[in-house]
Amino acid sequence: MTLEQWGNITATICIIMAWSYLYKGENPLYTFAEHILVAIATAYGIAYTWETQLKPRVMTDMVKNGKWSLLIPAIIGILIYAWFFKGYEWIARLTMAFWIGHGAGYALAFNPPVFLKQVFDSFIRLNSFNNIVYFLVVITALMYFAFTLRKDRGILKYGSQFGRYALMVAFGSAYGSITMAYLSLIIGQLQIIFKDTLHLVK
Amino acid sequence: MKRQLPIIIVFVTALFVMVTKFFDLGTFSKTAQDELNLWITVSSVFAFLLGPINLVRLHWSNVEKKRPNWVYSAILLVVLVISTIIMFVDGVNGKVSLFIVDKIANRIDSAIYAMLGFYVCSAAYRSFKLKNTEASILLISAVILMLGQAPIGDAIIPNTSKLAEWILTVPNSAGMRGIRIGASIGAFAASIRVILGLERSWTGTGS
Amino acid sequence: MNWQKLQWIDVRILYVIILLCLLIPMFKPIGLPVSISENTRKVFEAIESLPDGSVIWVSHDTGPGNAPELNPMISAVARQAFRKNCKIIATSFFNEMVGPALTQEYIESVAKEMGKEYGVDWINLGYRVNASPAILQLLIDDINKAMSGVDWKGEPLDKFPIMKEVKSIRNDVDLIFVTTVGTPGYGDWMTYVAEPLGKPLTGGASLTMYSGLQQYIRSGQLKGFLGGLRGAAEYEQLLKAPGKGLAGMDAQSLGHLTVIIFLILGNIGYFASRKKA
Repeated sequence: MTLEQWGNITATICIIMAWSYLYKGENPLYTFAEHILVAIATAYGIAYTWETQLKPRVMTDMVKNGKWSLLIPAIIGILIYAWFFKGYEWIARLTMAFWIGHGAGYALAFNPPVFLKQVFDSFIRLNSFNNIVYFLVVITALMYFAFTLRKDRGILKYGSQFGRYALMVAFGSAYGSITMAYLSLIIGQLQIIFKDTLHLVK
Repeated sequence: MKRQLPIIIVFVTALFVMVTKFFDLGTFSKTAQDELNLWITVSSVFAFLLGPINLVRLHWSNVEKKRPNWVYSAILLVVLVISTIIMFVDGVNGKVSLFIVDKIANRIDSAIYAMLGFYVCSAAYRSFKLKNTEASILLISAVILMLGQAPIGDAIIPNTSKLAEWILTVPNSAGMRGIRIGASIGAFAASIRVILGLERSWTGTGS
Repeated sequence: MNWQKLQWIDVRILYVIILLCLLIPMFKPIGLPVSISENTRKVFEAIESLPDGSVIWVSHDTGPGNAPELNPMISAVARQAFRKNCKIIATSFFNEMVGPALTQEYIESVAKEMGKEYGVDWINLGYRVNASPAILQLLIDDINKAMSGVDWKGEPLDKFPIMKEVKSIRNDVDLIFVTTVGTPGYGDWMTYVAEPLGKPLTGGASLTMYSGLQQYIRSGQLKGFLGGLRGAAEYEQLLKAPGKGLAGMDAQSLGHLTVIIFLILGNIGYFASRKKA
């Protein structure tokens, strides 16, 4: 038997172990599979980060190219391990602060152009049925989300009610799509068992 | 200082990003942005053991204190050590490493995820009832999408796929845009609160 | 008959029936025709309209779970790109465990078939921690710096001829194709790369996300987008190269029909119990 065939048999056993949950809920086979998954994923994460990121940054950037200024971010990164030392947890927050500041700054600097395009694109020429529906749904959906306004009468009442119905259409279509997505994933597993391993399907 | 320093760092870093983005400071803007991005990347790389150390601590204490199901924790630790050694010796793209990752870990991962398919179906069966107007609209929209997106829809009722496409691209798209606009405003406000130090839950000192 | 019981059928029976309905068409395909949606056509045309020899950035940002939906898209885009002698720079920023290996597997099989060489016509740069926004921003002007100078196997980028031609996204890449299951995904590529540079962005998403991105196609921020296995099947049909996408369509049909039948049964049971009450 080739390595590929052994691989497919192993894969099939793994799928069955995971799917045993469907029949009996939390059971030894499933729990075993779950723990194996976490262990291998962690091991791979360590090895992959070392091979493709840590090693080149240290050996090439710092040692070979002499970019020793990278020691500063390296130290910032290492500070996160202060989390494990009682009384010094606050030091780890400095690293987190650096990352959070960077993320928040980028969100404020880069998100508005994407978001504003969405706003501008909503004010379209009302020259077709689709455009009218589109405009009405956007506006009424926003009315529905305006929780600080009183919506017990007038245009806001009926507008937000229409918005609510429109959102139900959106959620329904999302659910329909999601069902299809997950069925495709089951099909993927079945193809491994019946096509790749058992060769019952062409 | 323990409370103020992280907030100051957040403010300064965010301000630095925005100033270099919005003001034309010549080549400095680009160089500074690139350097900061490199710093973020390098600092994240050096912090990569945070998760693994946490995991080992948790499971080691399970084994040590013989908590319920400690055997699985022991298995996890043994597999973790063995696979780490294999992956360093064989290389991350070696035959054995890829076998372990692709034929074991990925298969378990995708099988667990695919189980959601069964739950989505049973949830639909148990909860999608024509109880009121909203629930009926939700149900009808979902059914049209399900029929329209699979080829069988057109075979049963002609043009179902066209109707499904219309629902997806007009009312669904507009509804999602409404949600997205609301969420973006919220995210914008949240970012400002974090930068100004009004949102401090991440520091563990309360908001 | 006690109709009320129809809403309390053991779900394990539902599971078995779904499994059978997904299995039967694998053994005996029905071959139902798949109509092509406007969104898929837009993706096809966005790539088709590129001049021969262009450079396409393909980011297979998938996890293990959604990979069966998205893998056929990667084969299909590689096929279309190589037919036009386009070059591919591939990355995968969502998950280090599956992304790089799957990208390699799916592009390599098409490349071998079409006589394209690794390092000359395409390259796989793999995964990096903290892709969004730091790495994405670095990629704009210096791919080598962002990817720490190595490909997915840790081989130095200097030795590959393709990397002598493609130094940055800003100057050397013509289109970005992204598969998406979460973050980083199309949203990050749009915000940090495509919008600031005005580069065309297209790709495919798991159907779990598909309904939530339609508004970006309408505003032109996405040049069409493929939706799950169905999108991949449509794309394969446009390319006249049937693959795993089309193969799954019959099973999908029967699966959906089963869910709808169970929905109807559940509702019959619900109305029977309401009438009785």
